[in-house]
Amino acid sequence: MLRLIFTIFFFIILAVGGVFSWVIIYLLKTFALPQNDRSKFLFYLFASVFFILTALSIFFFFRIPFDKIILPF
Amino acid sequence: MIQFQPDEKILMVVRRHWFLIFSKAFVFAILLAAPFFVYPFAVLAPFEYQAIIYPLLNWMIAVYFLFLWVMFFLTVVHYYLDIWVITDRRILDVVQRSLFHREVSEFAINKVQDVTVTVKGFMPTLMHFGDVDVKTASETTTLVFYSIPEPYKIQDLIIQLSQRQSPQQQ
Repeated sequence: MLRLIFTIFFFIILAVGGVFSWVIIYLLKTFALPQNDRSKFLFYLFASVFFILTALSIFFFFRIPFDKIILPF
Repeated sequence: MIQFQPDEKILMVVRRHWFLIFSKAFVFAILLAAPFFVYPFAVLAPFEYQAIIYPLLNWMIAVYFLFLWVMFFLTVVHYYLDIWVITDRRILDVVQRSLFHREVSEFAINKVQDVTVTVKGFMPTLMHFGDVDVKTASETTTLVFYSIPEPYKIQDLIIQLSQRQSPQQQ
């Protein structure tokens, strides 16, 4: 049960992060000045760190020993 | 997206001073360091929780960093998309108020009547940034360049452009 709650919570966080990243990409792409391509760099910077942090959070998530967690209530 | 005419020359693209994004980045850096101060306190947890607390803490910190990165990047995008474009014909004021709130105003350079520079405060004086208030012929319309670097240079440029444009229109 606890694992299920954690999993749902975790994927909600990832989904929210995913939506935000889509918004960032959309804004950078749509509203950049025509002669300016620095937004491409910003996009790649955001995407690469976001990807690393997502992978890291998924890695740590599967290391949590859910069977040992006893809720105090 | 902003459309420019083929023979229109972009003279300057102005963003807020880097000090403003730097100060926000500094706050994010402090928030980034916060978990490392919390980490040593995990030792204080009861013995039976010791095996659980570290993997749980690692995961929470990773999620916290992910959240912080998204928030920081939203700040960067906000800063990056808030621009003023000075061309030889007009001034464009693009304000990204929030993620889904964007305002684009256009001012003809020959309508400019008064340009005021305000440098207020210790850091703006030291770092050379301030506001430039541009008043046009219309009484209600004003354009403000907020916290831009080298405000006096921008003031000179706008005045020069409006003086150059005015005789052509008459």
